[in-house]
Amino acid sequence: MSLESEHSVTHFNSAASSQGSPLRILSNTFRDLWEWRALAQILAIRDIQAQYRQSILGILWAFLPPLVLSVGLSVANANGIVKPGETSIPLPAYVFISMTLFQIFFASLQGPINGLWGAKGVLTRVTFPRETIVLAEVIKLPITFLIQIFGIVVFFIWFKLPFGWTTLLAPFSFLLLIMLGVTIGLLLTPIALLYRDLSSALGILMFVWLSFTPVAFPPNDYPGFFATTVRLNPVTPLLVTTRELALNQVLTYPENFVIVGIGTVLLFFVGLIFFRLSMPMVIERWSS
Amino acid sequence: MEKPEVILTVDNVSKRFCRDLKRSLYYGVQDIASEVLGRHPRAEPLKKSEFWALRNVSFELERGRAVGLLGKNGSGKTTLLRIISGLIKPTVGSVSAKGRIAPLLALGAGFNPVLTGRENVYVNMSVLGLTRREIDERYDEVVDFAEIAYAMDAPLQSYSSGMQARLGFACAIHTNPDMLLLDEVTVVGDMQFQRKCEKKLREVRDLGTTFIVVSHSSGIVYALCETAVYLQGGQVKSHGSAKEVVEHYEEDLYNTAGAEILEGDHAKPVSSDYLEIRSVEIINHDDRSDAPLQTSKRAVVRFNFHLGKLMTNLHFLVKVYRLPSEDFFVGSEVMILHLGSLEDGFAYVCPEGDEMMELRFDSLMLVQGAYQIAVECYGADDSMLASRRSERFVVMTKVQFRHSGFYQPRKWVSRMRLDEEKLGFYRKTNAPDVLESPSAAELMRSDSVTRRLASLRPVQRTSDGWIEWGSLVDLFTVQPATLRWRCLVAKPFKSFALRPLNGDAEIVFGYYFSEGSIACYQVFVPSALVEDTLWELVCPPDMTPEASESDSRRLAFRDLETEVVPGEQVIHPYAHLAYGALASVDESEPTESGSAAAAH
Repeated sequence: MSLESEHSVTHFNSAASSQGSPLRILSNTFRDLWEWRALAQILAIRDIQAQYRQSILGILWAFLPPLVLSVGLSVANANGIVKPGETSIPLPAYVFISMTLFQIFFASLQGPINGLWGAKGVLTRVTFPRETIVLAEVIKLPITFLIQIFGIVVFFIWFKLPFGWTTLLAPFSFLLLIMLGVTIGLLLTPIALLYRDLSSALGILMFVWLSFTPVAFPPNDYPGFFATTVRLNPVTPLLVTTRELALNQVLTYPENFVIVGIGTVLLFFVGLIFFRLSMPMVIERWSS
Repeated sequence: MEKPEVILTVDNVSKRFCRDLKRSLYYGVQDIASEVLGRHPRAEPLKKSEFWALRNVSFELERGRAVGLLGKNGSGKTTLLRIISGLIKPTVGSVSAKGRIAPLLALGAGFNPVLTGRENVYVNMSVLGLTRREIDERYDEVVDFAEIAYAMDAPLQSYSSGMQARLGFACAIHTNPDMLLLDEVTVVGDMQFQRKCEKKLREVRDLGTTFIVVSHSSGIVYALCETAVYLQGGQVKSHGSAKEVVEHYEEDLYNTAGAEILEGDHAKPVSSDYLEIRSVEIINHDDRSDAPLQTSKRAVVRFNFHLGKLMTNLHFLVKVYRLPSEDFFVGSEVMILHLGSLEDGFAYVCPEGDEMMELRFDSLMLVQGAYQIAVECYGADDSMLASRRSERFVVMTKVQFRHSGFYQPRKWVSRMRLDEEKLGFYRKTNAPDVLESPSAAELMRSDSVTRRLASLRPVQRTSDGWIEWGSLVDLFTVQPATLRWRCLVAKPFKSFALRPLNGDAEIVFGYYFSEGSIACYQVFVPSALVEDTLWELVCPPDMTPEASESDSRRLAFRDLETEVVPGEQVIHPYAHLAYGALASVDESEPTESGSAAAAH
């Protein structure tokens, strides 16, 4: 009469680092994620439902930050308060698209941390693959993004922005951007869950990071320290390339894009291993 | 016979914790670093502010069995449960468990107040490891069980806490786990729902689910488990049958209770010029002063005193104090008895020299706990001349009246007027009359030895060669078709634990009577005597149609044999008549499979 579950049912909990080689850990991680995908889906749906059920503006929140920034900067530009330099497309559209991309990048960075904090009650009481929570957060991203992409399409039409066959390549670059965010998130999560300082610092970090990313200014060659930082910022090539591919433009940072892209994928696997190894320690400190 | 499968192995588990939160977080970072670098952290020595929450704990659990984890607060029970469920890693050692574990410490895990009850069921059961399809299949059962079908589409925050708890329990129990971890408060809601939970747990238990029960009170462990592990300071102090471990635990519990109170000044003896109390002894039913007293048995307070001169009108006061302990939460000792000889009408003339007095209790009414007695002597003018306290002593109680505040000697008498027509199949019985019948007295003489029920009357057996028992509410009946004898079994003790009888069982025969050709027994099954093993039985349906309507399990005994154990005093009012033991009861006897094979 008892129904067999699809989930693996033998547990082994040992003091030794019995997780095996990095490859083994990775394959276990992906197996778990596949077996528990339904849970991730349910958690993602739960969060979205809960989020929108307690809000009047609902999906408008997805548009507001880039819209406000874009309008604000345009007004400032028109009055000569800031001089962001020549952008290839009208400034409002430029800022809106870039800000949307940056916002999604940062959301994917914060996703794992916020998701795990939110699931504290479950994590300390039930054993299940902790990566499921991260997956749920990742699932939530495109849902928010689909709403935002609608806004981008409106801008494309409104400003008669150019697009071509390279637009079809933009999603790959975009995925790398999200992957970079999740990777940094995975690496920060265990420490952020132990020390709240890190979560608080992330709010400030976002503004600093934003100002060193070509969101409100074109990726020109500026002199000195600022330019170097902008170029070394791993978000720069991914974000700029995504935008340029979408707009069918000449790529500014093709080499950097390749290097950061490969690095992101490799670091992503490192992040997964690090996350899996460190979560039991975090949960122990939470519950004892 | 095939050995049962071991479902859980706890192998030499130790766990280190840190008392200081800041430091603990720092050690956490260190642990992460060494885990990632693949370096196993050294178990010894302990770092600053660390301690062993668990130390070298090992035990095994077979499928379908129940083990209790006993220990005071902070003894490592919950930590062990967390390691078993895989939440945290042991510092040393390993745990391996087969099958799905449902931790009942996770009631309502993942509930979100904004979402509806229905949505929350899906989230909660997914977290516990069920697929969407499995939840679809069980959803109706869960809602039925929680009895809140009307509220499933309302947000959870509109639920009362009782409703939430019911939903949580319903979700957890319907995951059909292989192993259920029960931590302290597990039964929730109002009385009616509690009973429902208990019933459900019993069903789950009968289906072969393994239980791990964590508690600092021995009652629930005694009720649910066959074996127990007693943890003290993170180490296994004893491990064995639930009965032995519970006794060991309680003895320790009460032996250490109230130790600090004894240090106080008021515990010091007082004496006057002419009178000194030299000793106060508490003597148990075995005439020992160094062993625990037993509730309902004999006890004596004996005190020696020295008189400097002859005194008249000397009288005594004995005060009994209950000391605080783990299950008796009061800040200080509580005086519960105040027994004065003068109030009872006794004052004494005492000669000079060393003399002795005794205060005797034929049947001790104190229940389990730690106690202390103070003896005071008063002179003619009611002035206190001397006082002295006894050592702390412990009272142990058998499980029957564990829930009572004190022991009440008692006797059950049925004054029911049983109408034969109303009872139909059942013949009229009248217990007290029967007790006085000479034949009953003769048959149940307490000094009689091994006696087979079969020898009283030839016993009808089923085709498998088993005697069948039946159940009807709280009375079980047996009536072999041809021989017209029957046996009534009363369930004497409301208990959690109804489980397959797969070991030796003992039953106590309450009374016997004969009416025409019908012989009738009432059989009491005190849980204290049968290792808490109760059973539900079913009668051949053609004899008692009512029985087949109740959801009872069939169970049969291969042989009925009674044996009187001389000197054993059983508390039950009728139990003194005889004491029976049922030998070698084994469900999986080869005859069953043999006859089953023959049937094919």
